Amino acid sequence: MLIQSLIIPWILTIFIEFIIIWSFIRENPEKLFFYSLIINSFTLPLATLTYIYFFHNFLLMEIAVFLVEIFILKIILELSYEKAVLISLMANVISARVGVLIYSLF
Amino acid sequence: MTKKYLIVFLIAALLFIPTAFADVIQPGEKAINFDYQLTNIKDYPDYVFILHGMPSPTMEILSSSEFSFYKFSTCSIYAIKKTDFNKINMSKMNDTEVETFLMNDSLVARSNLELEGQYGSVTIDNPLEGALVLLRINSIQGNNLEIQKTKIVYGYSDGKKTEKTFQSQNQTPEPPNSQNSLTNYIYYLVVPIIAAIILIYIIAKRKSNKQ
Repeated sequence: MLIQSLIIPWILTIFIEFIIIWSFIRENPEKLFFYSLIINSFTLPLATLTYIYFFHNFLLMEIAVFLVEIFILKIILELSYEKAVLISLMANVISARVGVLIYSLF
Repeated sequence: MTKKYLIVFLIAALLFIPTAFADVIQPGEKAINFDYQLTNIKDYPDYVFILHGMPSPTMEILSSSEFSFYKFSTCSIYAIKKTDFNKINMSKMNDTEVETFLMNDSLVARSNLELEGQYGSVTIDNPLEGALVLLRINSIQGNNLEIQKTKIVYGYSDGKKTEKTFQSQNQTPEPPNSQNSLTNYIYYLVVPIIAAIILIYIIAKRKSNKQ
């Protein structure tokens, strides 16, 4: 089902990235969850669309998302570049890895 | 801080090492397996039809129901007269004995038709969900079982089905170009636009608060 292939990875990414962000910034979890929802609702559908139809390279696509999210996280959470890079790196590596594992299992 | 970066880098490097699975599909794709159905098996009530393939199944008795098998298997169908089948206790045979019996015994009628387990892979946003191949038994003469692929029924995530007729036994008819569904349209276009508007609003509000 389309819900299984598109919506579940989207929800999973939102939760994983929220946990990563929250582990770095231990305050106001509702707000951080909302930011994770908004950031991933912007990057994930566009990245999926680009990957499927225009640029079939998973690693480069993940790197592009990682770079875009650095800037969004820095601005929206008012972080230093160092911290934004760390959070974006961890969030995208772990969510990508979980995503690949799920594809492998199902 | 340098140590922290090093740890993070090592974790990241480890996590990016691709996992090797023999039957893994590419990210962004989903596998579509074949289902099969013998449409006129009831016209041959005196026969038992057996599915055998490599690496599996060793032996599966077919009925008029749909059947499928391991995606990397290649299978064939065999027919044995019910009276002969009841005399031979195939359940007591091991894998090798079953294979030798089906390949060589004069009681068995064999088909040249090879059945594959997997149709292939499509992108995850493709609504295609299944491919059912309809098979027709044309004749059983001596050791020759003639089976033909007649139609393929493609099933979609919204429950719709489309049917295509086989023009050649070696070429599977392609499914018609599937229209992008409403889910795709909302996911790829509406969701990121709404998210971008909210992001811009948050950033603009924050800037105006600072001024």
